[in-house]
Amino acid sequence: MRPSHRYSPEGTASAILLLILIGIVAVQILGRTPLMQGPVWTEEAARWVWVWMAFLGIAEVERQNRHLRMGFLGAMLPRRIRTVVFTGVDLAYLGVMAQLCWVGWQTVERTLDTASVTLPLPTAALYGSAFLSSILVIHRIVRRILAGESGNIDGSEVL
Amino acid sequence: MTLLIIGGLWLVLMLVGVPIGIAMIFVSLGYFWYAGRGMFLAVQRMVDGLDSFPLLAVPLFILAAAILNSAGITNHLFGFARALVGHVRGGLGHVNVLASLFFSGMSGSALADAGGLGKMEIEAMRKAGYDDDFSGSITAASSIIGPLVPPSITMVLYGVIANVSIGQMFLGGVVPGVLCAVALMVMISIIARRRDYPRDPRQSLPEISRLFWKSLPALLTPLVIIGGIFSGYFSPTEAAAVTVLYAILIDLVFYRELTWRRLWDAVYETSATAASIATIVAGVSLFSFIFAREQAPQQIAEVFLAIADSPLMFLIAVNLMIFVLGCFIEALVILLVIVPILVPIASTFGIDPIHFGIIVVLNLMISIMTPPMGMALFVVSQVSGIPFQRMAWAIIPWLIPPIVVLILVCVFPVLATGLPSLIR
Repeated sequence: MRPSHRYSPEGTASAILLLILIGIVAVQILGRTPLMQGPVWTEEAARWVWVWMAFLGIAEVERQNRHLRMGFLGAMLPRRIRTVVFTGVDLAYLGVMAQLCWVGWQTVERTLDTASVTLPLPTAALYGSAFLSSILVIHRIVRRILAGESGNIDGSEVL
Repeated sequence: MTLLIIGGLWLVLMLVGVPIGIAMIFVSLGYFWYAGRGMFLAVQRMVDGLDSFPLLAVPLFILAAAILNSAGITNHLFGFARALVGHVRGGLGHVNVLASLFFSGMSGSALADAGGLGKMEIEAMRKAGYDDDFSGSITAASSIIGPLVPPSITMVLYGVIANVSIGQMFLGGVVPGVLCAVALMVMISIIARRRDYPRDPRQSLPEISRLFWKSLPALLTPLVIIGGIFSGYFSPTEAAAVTVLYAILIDLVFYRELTWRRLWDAVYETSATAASIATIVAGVSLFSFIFAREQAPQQIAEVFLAIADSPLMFLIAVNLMIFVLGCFIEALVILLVIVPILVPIASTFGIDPIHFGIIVVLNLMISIMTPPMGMALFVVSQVSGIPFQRMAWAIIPWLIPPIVVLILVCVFPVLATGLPSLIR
């Protein structure tokens, strides 16, 4: 399945975070030169931005249905059977994501009072990425099931 | 028993077509639910698994390769390689390998090489009268040089999981990478003579010089990366960011082919690709917790200690295992799930972690050429229109050169550790 729109809000946010990530790492490098006083927050900020970028990106990967997969056996199934099987998989996936969403929220609540090492934020701000991502992924799975596109495997490879 | 059930369930889910990382999360949550504990820490483990500074190098190196491909720098590298060795019999085969070697100094991904350079290389070879099976196989085989010569995304991931210096890994891959290129070129020479493949007219020295100067800014990338890391100016992660900025800079100054739209698309695609890898890393974090609880490393170590009584026997067993698994399981999964268990066992046999890492990376790269799960074959088939089944048969003789290099690296550790030990 290829999405009808080229860009999505979650994909755009993830891409912007990647640009911010490059900026933060550049500041970290410049911080070691005589040009700047070495800031202490850059490494933690870069890690947090990467985690947010990755979790928002997972929702975009879900939208594009291009998770890394071994789809050859599934692809051999007749179209209708494939749709039934993958709708079942998507329903189970919904359950798993709902569980992760709940656990994610509990994690956010548990870490609200835990301060980050160098950033003026609680670590809940980091774990919130997984919570938000699970909501976005649930949204994409529901849309896929409703559109009857669960059997459309379009695996992609990255390394 | 629990481990077998977990592994079996995961395999079944993957074979059905459930995404690899998602299948890990499925199985892990099932385990936590069944065990009645661990569930409340699931999200924390997934986030903490990603919260690693060296891991940042992965999206950054992917982005650098995407920018270089978008900016058309591959065209210049191909042109320069063609001017250098195109006049030899079967010249375009040699050009294919040499261009991959040049590109590997900028990209850490075999599939970026196969997808970016591959299309152009195969089209040129078709026009010159080369067989499709020859052109496609060389393109797939030469793409494995990418992750051996720095920078390398696979080495970054190995460095993270094995807790070894990524800079040392980068250096360790140089000699095996060059050896792979040489071995492939020897094979090309033999086949080109037998099939009487054509050669390009020899280029004049001023023309070679002109193409060299045109390619030079791109060719300098590995020097920027390695030089920066070993002079202490930046870490491998920072080197990845510098590579991105350098790729944009050389395009702005020299090539001027990158548009805002292309740059944005490269960033957009990279963030999704990196997220796809991140899903697996997050899933592996959950798996690692289960493996630790079920004492998987100890159980697997016992198996290896029972069948191997020397470092060489251990390496043979590991290589056979990775090779067989690599035919059916994606290289990234083997790297993230299986290799972390093997690294401590390799240490108990006294094997240098850099040496072991280079062997693993080389073998994993061979696995992207082996059907039915050879991802390089899929990519080459996709960009060239050569049927996958044809590629799957044609690639078999081309496994010989990298396997020979793998054997050499196993037997002579200095091939992997020599260069890093000079800089240590």
